[in-house]
Order: sequence, then structure tokens, then C-alpha cells
Amino acid sequence: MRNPVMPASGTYDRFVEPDEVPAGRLGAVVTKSVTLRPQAGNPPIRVAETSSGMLNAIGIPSVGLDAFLSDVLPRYREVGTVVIVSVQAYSAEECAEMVGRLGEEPGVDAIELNLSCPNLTHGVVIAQSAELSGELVSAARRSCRLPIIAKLSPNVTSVVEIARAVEEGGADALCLINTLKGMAIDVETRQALLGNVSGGLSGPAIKPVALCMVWECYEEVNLPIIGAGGVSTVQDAIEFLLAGARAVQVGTATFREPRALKRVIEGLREYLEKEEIEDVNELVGWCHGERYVVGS
Amino acid sequence: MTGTIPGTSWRVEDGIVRENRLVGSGLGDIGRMVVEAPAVARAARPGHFVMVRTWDGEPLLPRAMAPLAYDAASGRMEIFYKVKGPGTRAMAGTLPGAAAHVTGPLGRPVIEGFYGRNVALIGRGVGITPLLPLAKHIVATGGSVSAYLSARTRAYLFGLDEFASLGPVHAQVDDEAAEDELATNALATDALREHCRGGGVDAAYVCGSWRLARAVEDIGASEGFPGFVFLESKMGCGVGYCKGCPVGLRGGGGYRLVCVEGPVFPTREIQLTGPVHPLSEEPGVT
Repeated sequence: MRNPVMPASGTYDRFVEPDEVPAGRLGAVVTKSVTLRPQAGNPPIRVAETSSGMLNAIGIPSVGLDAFLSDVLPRYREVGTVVIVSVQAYSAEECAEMVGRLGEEPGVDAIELNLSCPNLTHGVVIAQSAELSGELVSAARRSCRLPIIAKLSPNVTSVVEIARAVEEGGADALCLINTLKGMAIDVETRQALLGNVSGGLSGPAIKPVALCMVWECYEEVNLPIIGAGGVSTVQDAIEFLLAGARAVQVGTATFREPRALKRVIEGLREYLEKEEIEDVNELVGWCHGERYVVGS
Repeated sequence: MTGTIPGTSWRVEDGIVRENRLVGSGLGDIGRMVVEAPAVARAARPGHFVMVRTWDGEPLLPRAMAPLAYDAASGRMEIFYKVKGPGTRAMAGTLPGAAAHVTGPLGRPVIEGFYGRNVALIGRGVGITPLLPLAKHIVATGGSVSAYLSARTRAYLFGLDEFASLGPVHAQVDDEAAEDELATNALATDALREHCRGGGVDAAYVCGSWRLARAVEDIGASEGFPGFVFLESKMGCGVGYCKGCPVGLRGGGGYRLVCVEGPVFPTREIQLTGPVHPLSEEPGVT
């Protein structure tokens, strides 16, 4: 990757490329999650604003894998950067089928397994079960040679336990974290703001949660980590690197300011120059081991 | 279902707030803001909208706005907004000279595949605003428009004089009409129905209330012309990234995204009810 900055799944799309969102300069592009069969997504209202964050209950509208491969993937392939396809599978069999087909496609560089969408009305959140997470990842592992990134949920007692399970299942990297489950109510109508009642909280509000989970998994699990959750500025991105992330995803910040990705990329380059750091990986995991000083 | 979506060519521009004040007397819940953002203003066409943020910090997300007018020469846009939440309250508190972060123009312009030479435009309250650029376009290209405008007070009949310079206007305000609000509303649609009788209209565009949108659909179905409705929705991004602004298709056929597949839809194709609005619904008429 030319830099460790990429959009989070579901917060970017390849329709047009204004100068302000320079896809070719991104470290990678990550697609909206694709499902095997087409699905419409959740009814309105799908988004609601909260303090320093937003709730979404999008429900993964998807054209299905066939149309994704014929119509959507080519638009990503032409960007000229690393393409990570986010996969939402409802069973290990489905996962194996999807990942197997994607693995045969030219121009797919990695798979991000979305184990953690909180907005699906049927089934369970895979990433809330170490057993199911491990099963899905090993099904994907057996079906392709591509790097597999497991995107985990913060809505668990121990994210480390899930991370270990996907490591054993054969994952190559972790993506931490998906949204936190939440809701909001309209006091005037006395109804839930979201059509799906609850949704996933993202944005600056969740950054400390995400950062802590990255830090914990860096300590306990031997997999590279992509940090996600409230990254809006280059300072946020650097915090994630210091906590142990090898790369970061920028999501909700793009909704507020479409130039957020560009600013994080440029800000990181300037920071490295100023600090005279040649390789950004020197920052990764700085806040661990001997460098970590209690109370510093 | 969201299929392959053509994108409009949008940009992000750091503009400047040139004017900003509340309009009308007594109610004070609608603001008028003039934003200078030349690149966006020059690219805007009827039907487009913009995402605007004139504050730092909270709230997190920008707000979708449909300008009443955009002027290529001055690079300015005139925006009317209803003060109803933290975003529009932040807008109301913005002083001239402040930065206005503008993303746009967004959505698909109406004039793509535009239909109709003799066009009826039906707007209520803030929902009047996106109709004026369309009215100007229709007249400039040799068509004719008749406008049916309603609002709570005269101050909220945005662009009334300009509509009047473009064609016949049937204007109506609640505080000058009968006590019975339903009777008042019936007049607006009755006038439209009367006008449409005998083939005088070959398309109608409506904005500002679901009730009016349903009336336009009914009248259009009986008189044989298509209706189109301008929608607004809660939006995360406005540019098609977040998939947060669906409008339901009739017959359970899935959804369209207001931001990139709209904001204008044929009234016969979408569900004319629900939480996605035909732009800032006024109280009492929904």
C-alpha cells in the first residue's frame, strides 16, 4: 500500500471521483459489503445524528455477488490502488462460495469479512461468537489464497477472545472495530428515530472504544490490525498507529467532510517528515512494551 | 434495490456566508442565507441540491439544502431553511463572513429527460424553493409555467414575485384564509384540478407536502399527465456513499436513494407517504 489510509466499508463508493476524494491516492479502497443474493436494505429512516456521532441502520443494500462482479468491481479495479472487497455472508457455506468466487477474480487484493454488522434482522452477529467467527474465517481460508481481514464487533465481552478465534481460523489481519449498537428516540413522536429501531453508532464518539480494542488486541493477538472507529483527523490516525494499528480506516468523517481521507493522508505525510520518520511502521505499536511508561 | 448509479460531478468548496437572517414576522422559524461558493453555484442546475455546513464542531453532519436561486455571475446561492434542529439552529446562528463548507451540486438535475412544455408547479413553504430554478429553466427554453404556492404567511411564499414574472400564480396563505385549514388546503388542489381540466398541463412538479404530492398524482392520473415530486431525506453524506436516504418504491420493489437517484421522482413510482419528506413539511398539511 502506498499509505496506511483507506475508507471504511460502507462510507465510500465509486460513482465519480472529484479531486477532493482522490481514489488513486488512497492506500486501499474498501467496498460496501456485498451479499451473495441481492437485498434491499432497511426501511427509512436509516441514519440519525447523535452527540459526536451518528447511528445508522442501513441494512446492507446489495446488488448481490453476480452484479457486483460484473458492474461494481470493475469501477474499483480501475482506481489503481489496493482493492479490498467487504463480504457479508450468512453462513460458512455462503462465505466459502463468495470468497471462492472473489478469489478467482483479477483485481481483488484482499477480503474483509464483515462479521459484525449490527443491523441485520435475521441471524446473529457472527462476531459475537468466537466459535461462529472462527468457522466463517476458516471457511473463507479454505476457499481462497487472498489475505483475509476479519472485521470484528465491539459489542462483545472480550474482543481479544474473538480475535484469537479468527486468528486460529486463519485470518491474516483484524479490522477493529465495527459500529457500537445504539438507538435514539424522537421525544416529539415518542418513537425510535431509526426505522430499524436500533443501529450502529459511529463517529468521534466511539474513537476511545476503538482505540482501546486495538491496543488490547495488539498486546494479545499476533495479527496486523486495521484500526477503524471515529478516525477524523491525522491526530486520530496517529493515535491508532501508536496503539498498534498498521493502517486506519476513515468512515463517518467522510460524511461530514468529503476531504477527510485526503487530509489524513497529507497530514500523515507531513507528520512523518516533521518527525523525520522514514517508515510509518516505526510508529505502529509505540505505546506498548518498554516504551509504554505508566503515567507518562 | 440500488443498481448502477450514475454520479453527478460534484465538488467540495469552502464558500462564504454573505447574508443570513430570519425572515417573516412573528414566526421566525425560517432563515434566509446567501452563500458564495462560485464553483458549485455555476455548476448547479434545476433539481440539484447542496450539502452545507456553516459551523465547526457539533452537529456532526452537514445539512441538505435546495437553493431558491443560484447566480453564476456572483457565484452566490440563496437558501431558505426551516429552523427545526441542531443543524438549522447552527445555520441560524451563523454570521455573515463565516465559512460555508459546500458540497455540490448533488442529485440528478430535473432537466435530464425533462418532460413537459406546459408545466404546473405546486409548492408549499420551504418546498417552494427548488421549484423556482425549474420555472426559470422552463420559461427560458420556451415552455410555460403556472405556479400553485401556499404557506403559512406571505413572508414564506418564497420567490413569489419571480414566479409571477414567469407565469400565472395561484398563491395562498393560511392566515388570510378561512379558520378551517382543510377547506383552505382544498382550495389549492381545487384550483390545480380546475386548471388541469381540458389538457392545459402536460406535467406537474410538486414539493412541500405528501398530501399535495398525492393530489398531484391523483389529478395527473385522471387528466393524463405525469407528476414528479422533489424529496428531502435525512442524509448522512448527500453523495451516495452512506446509503442512508432511501425512498420506498411502490409495490414493495425496494428503495431508491434520494441523494443520487433523486431528489426528484415520478409520483407514480414511489410511496407517497412515510418519513422521507417532500421537503420540510409545514405543520397542518401533511
